[in-house]
Amino acid sequence: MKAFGEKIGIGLAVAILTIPVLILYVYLFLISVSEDMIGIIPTGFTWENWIEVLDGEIPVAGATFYKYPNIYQVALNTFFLAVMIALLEVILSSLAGYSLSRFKFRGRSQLLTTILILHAFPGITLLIALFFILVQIGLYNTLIGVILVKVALELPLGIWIMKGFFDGISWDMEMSALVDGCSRLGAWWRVIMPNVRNGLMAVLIFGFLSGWAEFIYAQTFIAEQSFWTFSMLVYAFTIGEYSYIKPGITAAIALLYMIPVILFFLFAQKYLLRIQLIGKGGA
Amino acid sequence: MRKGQITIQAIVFLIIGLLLGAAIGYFIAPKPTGDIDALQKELEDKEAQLQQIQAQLQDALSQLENLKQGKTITIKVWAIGPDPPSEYRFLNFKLAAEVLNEMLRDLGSNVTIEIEGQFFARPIEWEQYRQNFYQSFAAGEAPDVYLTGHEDIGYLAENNFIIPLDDYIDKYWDLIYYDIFPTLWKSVEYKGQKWAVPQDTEARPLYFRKDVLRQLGWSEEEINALPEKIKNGEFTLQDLLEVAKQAVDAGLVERGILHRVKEGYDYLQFYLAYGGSLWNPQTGKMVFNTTAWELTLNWFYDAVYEYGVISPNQFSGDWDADFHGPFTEGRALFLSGGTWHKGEWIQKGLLTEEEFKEVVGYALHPAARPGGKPVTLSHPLVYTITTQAKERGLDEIAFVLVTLVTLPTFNSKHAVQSAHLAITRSQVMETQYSQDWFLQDVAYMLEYTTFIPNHPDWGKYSRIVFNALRAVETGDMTPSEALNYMINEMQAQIGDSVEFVE
Amino acid sequence: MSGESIWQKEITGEDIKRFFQFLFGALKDVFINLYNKFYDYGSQIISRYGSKMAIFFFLIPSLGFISIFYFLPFVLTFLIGLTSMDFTFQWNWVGIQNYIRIINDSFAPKILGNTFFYVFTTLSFFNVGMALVVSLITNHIPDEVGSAVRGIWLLPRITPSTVYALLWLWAARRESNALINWFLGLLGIPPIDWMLNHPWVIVILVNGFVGTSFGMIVFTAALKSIPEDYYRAARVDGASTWEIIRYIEIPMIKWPLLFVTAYQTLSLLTSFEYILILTDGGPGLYTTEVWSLYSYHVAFRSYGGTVEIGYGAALATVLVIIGIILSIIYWKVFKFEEMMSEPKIEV
Repeated sequence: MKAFGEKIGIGLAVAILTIPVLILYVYLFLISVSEDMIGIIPTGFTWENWIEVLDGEIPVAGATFYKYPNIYQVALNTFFLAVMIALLEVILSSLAGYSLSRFKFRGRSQLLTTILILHAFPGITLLIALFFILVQIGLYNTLIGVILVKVALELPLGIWIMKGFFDGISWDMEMSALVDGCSRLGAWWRVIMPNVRNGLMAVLIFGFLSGWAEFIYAQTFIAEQSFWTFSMLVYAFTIGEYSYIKPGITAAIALLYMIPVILFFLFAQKYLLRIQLIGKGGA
Repeated sequence: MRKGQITIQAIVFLIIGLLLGAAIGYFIAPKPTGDIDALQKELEDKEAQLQQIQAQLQDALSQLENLKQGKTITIKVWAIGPDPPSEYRFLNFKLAAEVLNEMLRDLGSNVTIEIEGQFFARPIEWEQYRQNFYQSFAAGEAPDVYLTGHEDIGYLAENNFIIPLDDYIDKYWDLIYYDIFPTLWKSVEYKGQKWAVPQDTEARPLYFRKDVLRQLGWSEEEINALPEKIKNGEFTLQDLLEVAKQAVDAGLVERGILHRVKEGYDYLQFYLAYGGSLWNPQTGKMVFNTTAWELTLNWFYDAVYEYGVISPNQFSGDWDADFHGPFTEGRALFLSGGTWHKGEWIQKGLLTEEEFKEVVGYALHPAARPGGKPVTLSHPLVYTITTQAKERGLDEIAFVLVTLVTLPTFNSKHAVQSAHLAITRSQVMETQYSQDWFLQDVAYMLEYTTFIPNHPDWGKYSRIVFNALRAVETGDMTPSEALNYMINEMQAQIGDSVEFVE
Repeated sequence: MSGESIWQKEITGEDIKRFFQFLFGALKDVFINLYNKFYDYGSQIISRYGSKMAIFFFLIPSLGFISIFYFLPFVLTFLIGLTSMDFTFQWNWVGIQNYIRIINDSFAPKILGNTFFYVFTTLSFFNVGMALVVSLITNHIPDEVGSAVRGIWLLPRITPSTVYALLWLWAARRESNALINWFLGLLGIPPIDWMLNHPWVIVILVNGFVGTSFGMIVFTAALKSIPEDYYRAARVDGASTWEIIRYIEIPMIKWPLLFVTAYQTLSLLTSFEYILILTDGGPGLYTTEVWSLYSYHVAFRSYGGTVEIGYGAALATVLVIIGIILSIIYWKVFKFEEMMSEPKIEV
């Protein structure tokens, strides 16, 4: 009897803790496939919103020719942004992380201190100056500009993660592999890679997700709709007028935007936890 | 460990696959070229007109240096609605480019003109549009033709963003510019030069619901006479509050008076009605009339807190839920709007032409005192040519395109779809335009109109006024606090550019 | 995508596997090849210039990025704050006038108050409070259930900010059939216009739900490290669950509590993304405007076309200075340098 009561208690606690989080996602999905909603209850099932969104071209009520940016163009932009950020971050941070872990040189500890302090420092406060710099070097209104800024602001974190992983490989291990007659490539592939793979993955996923979700920098540094990313499109529809755009359409777009996030959430949670722990928390 | 790796790989490939699919989908999707074709067909009917223009343009075109080498010339145009029906502000350039290309072919030139750029529309608002312009200008990527509100001209000219257009206008004067309403030229002048070409103008009527007035016991004659009464100063701002209150008290409407929900210039009409003026042409300074502002702030305070006819959060509202929606559904009595709102309601399907005729009336904004002068405000949008267009050597071609889209053939497409007013005399005669009864009906309002000043510091003036009004409405400041705030901020920020009068 | 022939043969799991094998194999080849080139280049440099140069080869790209997009902006923010710059980008030096203006700004006190209210409330209710509740409860239920619950709390954090804000904006709409009002309606409470009358509630809820996960993970890690003996001893003494929490768990996670509080204060103080999307500082006059958002508005937004980058930068400088000071304090207090032990073997 006590066990039963306990189970009920646990069930209740779990429900109270998770429903407020989960219900909103359910709500979003239901809005995208129903004609109207009464609270959480959908009325009138329809695929129309999805069909319209997957068609790519979203018409604007009141305009004959003017259309919102093509969904597929937006998807490509977002993907380009996210992948470039992830790759650059992995390459740069593993190079720097390796040298900070393996070499001793003057200024090393000062450099580490700086990186740590930068890691805690909120880069968003530099927005105005970053805008100024991008304008001066001609990268305003380009995706490259957003990518460079984003990579730079996340590098301290990436370097710190990668340094940690390289620290974890003992030098003896690397040496003995070489001595045993492995090619250096073999040593790298068999000894170093398995040990830092998790780190690379963490940085890669972190870079991808943060690029995929990027909003403020994109919103501030991009002027033309041909460079819009999903975040800008969703924001535009969020603050826009309902009679211009149906909530169902916005919901379908938002869900499309969520696909990689959901996949990572379902299959790569251990990396996400790691990112959380070392990454910047908070809103 | 091993399993985890496989799932990660699987995810990565799934995502790549997904996006490859998206990319393929994008490239095989039909491009929207059909739109322009359809529009071109329409233009073929006007061939005779266009041939005439071509004859006039011929000399000018053959003189253009950069039309002599064969290549594609790209002209970048930026225009904004923000109401989507105003899309012809941009689209007309595509049409004009087609026409121009045809002319060039006839002239034996192998140059093609291409239009790039963008039409900005809601959800992008003026703030974002202007921000984008200044930022892209700073980055050297400014458009060649930039559509903006005429009041920006002072700032744009003063800071070298745009070039003066007197020479160009004189050169093409006989083509169309002789025909533009002379008052509109005033709106593009700054320091004795013309800096832009008017694109459209509008009046800002006070819309009212006839059906609600009927329910209040007004007879059909009384309702139809209201615009006339307002015109003659027999119906004042005070009456406006009283009637709105009656309707609210009787439970006929939820809100008595609606005004715009974002920053704008509409509320200046109340200040003007109270005898305020915005600038002094003699000194070139902006004017701050303390008494008029005090009365205006009090009127807004009364409207919100004494009469309860304006929502205290009207300035934080949503365009649909707090502006278009309540009025078109008959849940509000008065709406301080603009002629283009009629276009929006029809285009968006909120009202049909018949419904609009049946239930909506429109008048000037009432005078403050009996016998006073009613007001409206016009805010012509204008095409400017940027200094960067000149640096690129594209100023002349850009101007030829601006000239073409100013022709009634093109401009009326915009005026009719978006319910803006004509800019040329011949346009009033033009079939598309003259068939629109609404535009004919509100034309008289232009006699009562005012422009806002083309002063470089106008933006700051407007921002301070907006903050004060909003603070009074939300109850953050009393009218007298707001007045003090306005005076202090004006003196601190733009003291040299403002004249204070009692 | 017509081409019917593709679909005539049914695709089997084997096909998919082969496809992935092929793709992965190709990618691996490219990767290894690249690495090889890289390694060659690196060892060439080392053999030619010695390991000193190699350090530069490895570090310079990152240092370049950090200098251009971190150090330079520090200096620029401060310098622009001393000008009356607008979008003409003229350096009109005005000295400390912008800072005098901050002191005299009629809205600065309200915005400052908002900022403190926002940081304090979000922090205490969610980033620390809710995080503590979630980690304590999940620590006392079977672990597989507990970690699933914690996993779910990660969702708001990894959901793109625009989507998450959109979810709440819809749920909090004023109509009676919108999610929150509908639930209240079931309880007999009339609909509330949340965004208009209680904007802070939504702003804090959204930021809080997003911010909970960080504290939750830190606290859980700390709780997991409490030796099992402590619990056993307590149970033998007949302690209730509440007493275990009160007298064992809370005292043991004092340090993580302090860490989370400190770390999240800075992050909340400077982030304005969700507020921008949710209320844009409204409704009404600066009702939910916080300092960082004000700086953004001043520098980038203007209806009349006049923006004040200089004043915006001055406002941002205040935050930059707070940011630097707090970051250094964290580094000192939380003894980050212990993590920076010298490498065991030198090259």
